[in-house]
Amino acid sequence: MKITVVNMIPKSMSGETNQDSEPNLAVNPNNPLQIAATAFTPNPTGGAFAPIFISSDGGLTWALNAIVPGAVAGASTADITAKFGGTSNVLYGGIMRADNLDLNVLRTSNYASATPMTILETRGSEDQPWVQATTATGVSGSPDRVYIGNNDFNTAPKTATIDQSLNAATGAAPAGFGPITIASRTPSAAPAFSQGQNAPSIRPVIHSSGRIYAAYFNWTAFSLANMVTADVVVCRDDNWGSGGTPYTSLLDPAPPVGDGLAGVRVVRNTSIPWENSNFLGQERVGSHLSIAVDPKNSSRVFLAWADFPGGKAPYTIHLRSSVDGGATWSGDLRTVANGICPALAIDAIGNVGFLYQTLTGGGSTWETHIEISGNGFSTAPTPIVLATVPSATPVATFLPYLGDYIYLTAIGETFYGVFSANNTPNMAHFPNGVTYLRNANFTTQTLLNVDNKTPVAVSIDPFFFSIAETVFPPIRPITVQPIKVIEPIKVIEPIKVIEPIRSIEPIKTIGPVQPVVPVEPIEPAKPLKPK
Amino acid sequence: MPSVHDLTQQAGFVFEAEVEQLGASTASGFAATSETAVVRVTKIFKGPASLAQFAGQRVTVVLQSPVSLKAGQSASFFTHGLHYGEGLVVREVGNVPPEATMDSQVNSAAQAGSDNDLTQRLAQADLVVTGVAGAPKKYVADPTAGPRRISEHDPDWWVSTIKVDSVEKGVHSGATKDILFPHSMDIAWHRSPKVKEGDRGTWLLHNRDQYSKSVPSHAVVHPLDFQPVALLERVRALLKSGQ
Repeated sequence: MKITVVNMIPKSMSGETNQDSEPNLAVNPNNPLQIAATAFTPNPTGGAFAPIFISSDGGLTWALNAIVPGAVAGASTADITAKFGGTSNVLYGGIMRADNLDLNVLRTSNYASATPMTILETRGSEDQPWVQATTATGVSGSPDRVYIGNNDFNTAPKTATIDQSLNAATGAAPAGFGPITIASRTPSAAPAFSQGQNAPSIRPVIHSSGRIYAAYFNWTAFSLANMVTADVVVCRDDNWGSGGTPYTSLLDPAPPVGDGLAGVRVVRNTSIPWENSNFLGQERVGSHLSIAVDPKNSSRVFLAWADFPGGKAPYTIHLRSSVDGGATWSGDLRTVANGICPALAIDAIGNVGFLYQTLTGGGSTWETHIEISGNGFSTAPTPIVLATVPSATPVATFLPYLGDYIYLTAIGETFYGVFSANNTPNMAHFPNGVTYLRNANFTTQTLLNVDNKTPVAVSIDPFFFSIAETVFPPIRPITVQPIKVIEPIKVIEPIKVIEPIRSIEPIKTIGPVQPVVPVEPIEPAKPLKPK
Repeated sequence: MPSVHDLTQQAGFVFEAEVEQLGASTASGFAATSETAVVRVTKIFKGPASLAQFAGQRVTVVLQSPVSLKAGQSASFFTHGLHYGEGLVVREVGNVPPEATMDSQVNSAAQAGSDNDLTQRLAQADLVVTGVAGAPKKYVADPTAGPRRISEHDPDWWVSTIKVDSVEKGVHSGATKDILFPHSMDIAWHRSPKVKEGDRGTWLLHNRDQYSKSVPSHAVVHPLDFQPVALLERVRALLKSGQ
């Protein structure tokens, strides 16, 4: 497994100290070397166009390309996400403009070109556009199909909406884009407010078969203490959202078990704090939601959201799955206390990636984790820690501090993601390594300006990562063999005491053998004379 | 040919530089063309803090056509950032020959631009008063004003009572004036004035926010809508000149 983490601020922007939070990512499926990313990053020199981040080498290096309309000097967009079509190389964007907070749907056929993105759609009273796109290669003409979740206050109280186009790549504005209300129930925001609505997060996800899922929150109450009561809803369309009654393929169980309306309520009446202020560290909470579908099995879906379990702290991410197209759901596969920004993706061989950020160390540290499971989280994988950084520095200049969302996607068997974090150049903050493009001294843990001398203050930067060559084979069932009877242990005879070894006397040196004097021959005995 | 004043108003990054190479680029992701030039920055006249250390650095400028500059020539470039990668690429609004007084000309133009921004804001204001702010508190919306939407981009209106010293524009007869301000620190509102008790100065009160949406009552919403008391004479002069 190869883990690559890159601080995305380019070298020429070494002097920047922006709070580059709420990142999003678009990897071109047709050429994964081409990647676009977004964040709350203003154009440093002002002008009418805000920047996107672009990479042409798979995320190893980055540049800012100022092509997003509606910029205001010193300000970024108020929301921005982007995605590539499947094979068209077209990049689509959804923004809340900096100059008037209107929704714009954007398009460019060349994400690296200096030509500004084309505006395809404009609408006021909107929130949080969330772009998903693909090329429908199984459809005649292989059109690009784009689905943009958004919270459209023009249709209150049912505000959960998808703006979609079934042929988005080339047509003149609006290129087929138009809104579809996907909320089937009438939300309530009583007693605090008289207008019902859905929550900001409306999250579509596309399967190549034309099956589109969308997750959203159905608010059923909003207390004076800013506590939301909400259902977590998943709806579905099985034909690209193109029928006369789109997004009604998945129904809640018939009464009395359910209400029979479109969209299964995965969880009912859960409690979610809506805190648009420093709540977790310096971050706000209130609408965290993610959904992913298995590219090789359109009925296998994973869902994550955050709430107060049982109405009580801590703010907790839940991860669940469905193997029947969203009709029924597992219990919690994972929970992450003090977690925000869940982001899910499933790779080409069914590995599930679960990215999130969690406040640890008694609130002192923001950690960014990814867990990758080869068995659908039947067992909890060991989290890969991408970043572990101080939560108190820098002081927030605005909210969100890190983002209302981060992003994870998979192309083939590689996961690609993006998150924002404190940018102190400290290797201990990045246990799996990191590369900085901006000038930095890791020895002194100091950011440096373009002159490579002048220190620069710590800020929040976007970080790209990829995890390649992931091989997480499913854990095979273990066959337990019957335990064999253990034979009784034979009594061991007492060990005999070993007598002390007697010391051996030193071997005496044997003197040289004296030469033996030759024996003189004995004369033969003379015969005795007779007496 | 546009004036330095006009060019400065249009440009976010103004610097003097010497042309090193025509038809070249310092950025690997930004291809050289016949209109690109690599220049070495010698002086910075106007720009964001993040580019303040670019003196001595090489920058790619996308020149306006037809290109008349030659290698070795110096000029003052009025630009906007285009591509920020390993190298910086800017697009020129225009360029002029170097002048010894360029720094003061640009500063003067920048000040004029700032004055113009404030003049416009004053012209748009419904009421301009001076005074000191009382302790702010959360604004309780009129329940008959209609349903409120819930969004992370909600301004979260708070109210402060201003003890009015003078009325500089518009009509107001009371000794105090309640003003609203966005208390939210959301990305859409964090630059709006955050009123604190004891803030004394000029308050530019509007009935629309900076996004042209109506507000519940007179409000300060734009960063220029509060001017410290020390700038009162400037405000008065701009009000007078704008009439």
